[in-house]
Amino acid sequence: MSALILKSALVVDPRNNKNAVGDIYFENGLVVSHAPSGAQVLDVAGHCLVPGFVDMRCTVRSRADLQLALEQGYTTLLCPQEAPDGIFFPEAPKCLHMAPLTRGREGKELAGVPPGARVLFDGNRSIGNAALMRRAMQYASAVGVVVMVHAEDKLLSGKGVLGEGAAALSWGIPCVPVSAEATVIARDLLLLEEAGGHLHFAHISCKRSLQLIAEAKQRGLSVTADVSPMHLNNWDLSIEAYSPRARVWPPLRAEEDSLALREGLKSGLIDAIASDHYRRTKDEIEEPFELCVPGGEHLNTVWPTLWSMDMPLADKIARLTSGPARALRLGGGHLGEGAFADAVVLDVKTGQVLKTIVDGRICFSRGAML
Amino acid sequence: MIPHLLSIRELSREDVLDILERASRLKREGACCSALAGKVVVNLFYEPSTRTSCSFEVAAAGLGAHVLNWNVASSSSVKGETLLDTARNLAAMGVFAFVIRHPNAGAPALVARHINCAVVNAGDGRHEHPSQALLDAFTLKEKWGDLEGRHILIVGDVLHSRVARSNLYCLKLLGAKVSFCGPPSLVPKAFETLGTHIYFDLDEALKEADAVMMLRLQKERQTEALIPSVQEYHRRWGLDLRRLSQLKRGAFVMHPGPVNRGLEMASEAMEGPSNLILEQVSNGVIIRQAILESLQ
Repeated sequence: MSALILKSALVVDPRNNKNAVGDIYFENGLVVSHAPSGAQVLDVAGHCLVPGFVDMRCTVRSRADLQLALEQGYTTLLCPQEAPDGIFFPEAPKCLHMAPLTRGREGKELAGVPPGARVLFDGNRSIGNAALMRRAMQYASAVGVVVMVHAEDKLLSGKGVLGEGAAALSWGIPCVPVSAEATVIARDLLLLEEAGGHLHFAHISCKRSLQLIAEAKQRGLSVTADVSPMHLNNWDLSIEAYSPRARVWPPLRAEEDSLALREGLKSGLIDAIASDHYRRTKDEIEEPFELCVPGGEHLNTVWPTLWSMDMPLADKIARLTSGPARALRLGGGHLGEGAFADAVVLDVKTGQVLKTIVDGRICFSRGAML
Repeated sequence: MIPHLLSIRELSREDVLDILERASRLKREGACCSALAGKVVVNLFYEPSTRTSCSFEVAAAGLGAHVLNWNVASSSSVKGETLLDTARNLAAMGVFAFVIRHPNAGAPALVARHINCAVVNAGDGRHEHPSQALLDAFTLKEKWGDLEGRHILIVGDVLHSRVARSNLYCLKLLGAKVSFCGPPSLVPKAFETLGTHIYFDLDEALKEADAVMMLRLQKERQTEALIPSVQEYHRRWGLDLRRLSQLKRGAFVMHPGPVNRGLEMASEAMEGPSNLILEQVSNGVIIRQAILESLQ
């Protein structure tokens, strides 16, 4: 396999507390400590070199999704469902498929943990049965996999499509109370105390949920959380009524929730930012609001959102690299010796992704398509 | 003149007054039976309706328009055609205006956004029912001359009511005060953010009102556990003779119809000079003519 030397970059590697100019060496898909012989040398002086971005939830439906991910600096994507055959190309980012927590994702009985599985996730479905959830967490803890939770009490969310508040009332659409998310988080945190293991909450949308997670972290529970760019950048009243853009899941909530999420991301209470990218077809959005399929193209909003936030560069990078890698026990997400040779070259001034390197190969260069 | 009538919320006070003045003129002088001659108006109804669809049909016919009634039960939407495809196909036949009723909020707005035709919202989910609010305002204006400072109480299932929302915006634009009354499961406190006052106690609320508008209660709200029973609902939030006698002298009683006798209103409470229900219906045709006339 190939070898690559990246010379004179400003290396920002949050996991290894590195923020200095230096060289990084890649050989056989891994980071090595000494310059490999016969390597291709790339002078990236004046640019920033960071670990490859990791997206915790991304639905890959087409080749365009993979291409967009590369352009945005992603080297690893976690996919709730299998991507269609025939769309992959040699330079594509790595896609890890998440295994179901319950058989058929129906929330009725435990699914087995397939060899190599790291994360169990039932997609946007919560397990209503607390006893089953408790056993699933015990089992996951014993076999060393992470449970990712979409927190939603179906009875409380009902037919709701937007957070409870003035917008839902005036648009005249069914709404979802904060308690639909927060009660499941409270329940699962109590179960975690008994079951042990590690729990990761996907796309937190409310301030109240954050308070519960903050308290659990203070008590020393092994819990992490992520947020989607939609919930950081938008709230129910910030979007034009009935715009398909506002049809996301979990639903958009109030401005104060959005502000609390931004604060949580800054402070590190929220460990990661996940795109929840789901490219919709025309048919899926040319319907009355309630009938539109939730989703949207968000792979290209994550990094610009982080870049624009008022927080140290190393923290921004951490939320897309070491944060998700640690939360999901993936390994990688850093540039220390032995880590995957996944990296991104960024423009220091604009934050623009200049190069994406997957397994030691330059898979994307701005201005020059593959 | 307005391009569409999708909601009262997006109208100005001048837009509302213009429609009400047109309606006064139509009532005084009668409709010009050639105003919409040669034009096609399509009633596109995805929910059962008698009053509203008939009212729009009579109104459009009175202006000389040709009316097509497109009813969901007998149309190709049962074969899976989407709302937009149906509207696109009809529009291709040369349509002046769509009058749309749909179970989902925002459906008329969706058609207006994608299709180059005037769209009138005849009720979309729990969003709005603007023509009903305009005819209610017209009926009250005829009685009072001016709505400034008047207090209108809307009672019942406000949460699921498009009539309540449209009336809230319309009556407030005309300077009236609007309050809602009903059980908290049907009248969430959050409505106060839209500029209304909430009462849970009907007896207390009735004393303050210059007009009371009773809303229809869907009986399935009981199975959804939003009310304990229809009997209890009638006892606490129904209008009966005893409550009628608590109203201010000269206060009016309204209902958008159809009435559940014995549920939100006792039969006896539907009689009497203060009751405007039939006047609402006959003014409905006039208001809908005024709406069709004001479309650009």
